[in-house]
Order: sequence, then C-alpha cells, then structure tokens
Amino acid sequence: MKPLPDAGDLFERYHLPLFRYVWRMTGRRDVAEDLTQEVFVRVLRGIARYEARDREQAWLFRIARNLLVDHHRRHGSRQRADGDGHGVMREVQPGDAPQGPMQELAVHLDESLRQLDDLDREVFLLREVGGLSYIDISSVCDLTTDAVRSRICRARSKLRIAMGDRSITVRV
Amino acid sequence: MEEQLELVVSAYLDGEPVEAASVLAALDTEEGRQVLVDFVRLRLVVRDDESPRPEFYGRMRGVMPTLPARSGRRPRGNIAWPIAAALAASLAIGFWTGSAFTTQNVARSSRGQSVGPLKPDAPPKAVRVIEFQPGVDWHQSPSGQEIMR
Repeated sequence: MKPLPDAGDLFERYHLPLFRYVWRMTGRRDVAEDLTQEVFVRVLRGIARYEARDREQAWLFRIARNLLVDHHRRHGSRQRADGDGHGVMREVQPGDAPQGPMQELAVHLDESLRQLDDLDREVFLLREVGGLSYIDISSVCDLTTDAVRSRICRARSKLRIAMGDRSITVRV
Repeated sequence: MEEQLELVVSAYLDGEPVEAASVLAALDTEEGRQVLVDFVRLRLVVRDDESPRPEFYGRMRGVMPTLPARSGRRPRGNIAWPIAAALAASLAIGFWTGSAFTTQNVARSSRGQSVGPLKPDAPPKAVRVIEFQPGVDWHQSPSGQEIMR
C-alpha cells in the first residue's frame, strides 16, 4: 500500500505551482499567499484521511479550487483585481518583476486570459501554471479528459489569436 | 481542419497520448509547425517564475514546523533549465560530430580515398614496405598451393 505523503515534501514540490495558479486566478499576491498557506493547513488536517488511490497533485489543486470558490463567494468583487470577477489581472506591487517588454507582454496576456470562458481559463491555467496532467485536471474540475483536451486547445487557440505577434518578441 | 490540427499539436505539446500518424501529418504542414511554435511561445509567456515573499515562508514554518530550512530559496528551476539545455545541446553536438566523422570516413574509405593521418579511426601510414617476388620468395607447389620461403 502506498504510504501517506509527507506534508513537507508536498509543500516543497507543489507550493510554487499552487501559488502561481492562485495568483493568476485572483490577481493578488497577498491572497495567493494566504490561500496557498490555507491549502497546506488543510493538508495537515486531512492527511490522515488521504486515500492512497488519490493523485496527490490533483488532491492539492482540488483543495485550492475549493478555497478559490469560497474566496470569490466571500469577497465578491471587492478583492478581484480586474473587477469582473475573473481575477486574472495581477496587481503590480513593489518588489514585483521589473517593468519592461516582458511586463507589457504579461499585462497583455492577462487581458487576453480575461476574454476566455471561465472554465477554459481555469483548465488552461491548471495545465500551464499548475502543471497538471489532463487526467488530474479532469479530476479537479469534474470533466472528462476529452473535455479537458478540447478546452485547453480552445483556450490556446483564442490566446494565440489574441496575442497576435506579441509573443514573437519574447527572447528565449 | 485547422481545429483538428490544433487539437493534435496541443495534446502533443502537453505530452498526452496522440496518434503518431496524426502528429506526423500535423507537423508535415507549415501551418502545423507554426501552431506548435506559437503554442510553445505562449507557454513561455504564461509560465512566470514568481515566488511568494520571504514572509510567506516564515509563516509556513509556523504552520509546518517540520518544513526544511531550505524552503523559500529561489527555485532550482531557474538554474536547472539552462544547465539541462546546455547539457542537451552538448550531447546533441557530440552525437552530430561523432556521426558526421563516422559517415565521412566510411564514405571516403568506400571510395578508396585516403582518410589522412589525423583521422582517429584511420589506419597508420606504412613506414616499411616488404615486397615478395614470385619465383624468388614464393613458389607454386604441385597441388596448386603457394609455398613461402
């Protein structure tokens, strides 16, 4: 039987993708930090009930998703940086990434993300920022893997059009 | 048609199961290759390397006392990717160089050309030549065998 995961190990492996995902979804660094912390508080409380058949990454992101739903329900549009309830516009705070072409590109990306369907955006960010597989996303969002596949593709296709040739200027 | 092409490239990019023939057909077209490049670029823009502030890690150690002290350092990914890329590039160059030399030498050898003294797999040049003269150094035996003297 698979042993229970170690909370410290889970933190090491997943706190950054969780933080980045929540930040993208809320648009606020402080909220992303609070909710990421809360994910691990719940992990510590619930780790004894963790079932070995669960996929740990999906488990963590499901907790994060539930927290996001609660957060939006509690705070309404008050804490949503973009004001339309989708929270993908990130606030620029002191200490954040320097201004420049990349920052400009990031702002344009945020605007493009906001134009996506809610679930398409969520599924896309779970994949690209959270690093989840299609099967894990299907588990987190209660979708079939085929639905995940087509939603991710649709999001990419729309973003590709919305970004135009802006992404071409990215230096790799 | 384009939708199907994007679907294949998108799943392929994510490492999800895709029929090899579909990938081949998609990447065989200019449009398919452009979709792949655009999706890769989009990924680079979306995946930022933002981290929580140091206070977050302080708070987390309060919540999880067993958390290793190294938590909160810059993620290794920032340095690991360039190292991995450099390693992959050097492996690829090494492989290409090796295979190029081998192919070149095989081709030259088959044409009977000299591969030169500096090629690593070329035989050394002869420094002494011994010639045998028929009837002097060797004779034909009655059974047809050649006998050396």
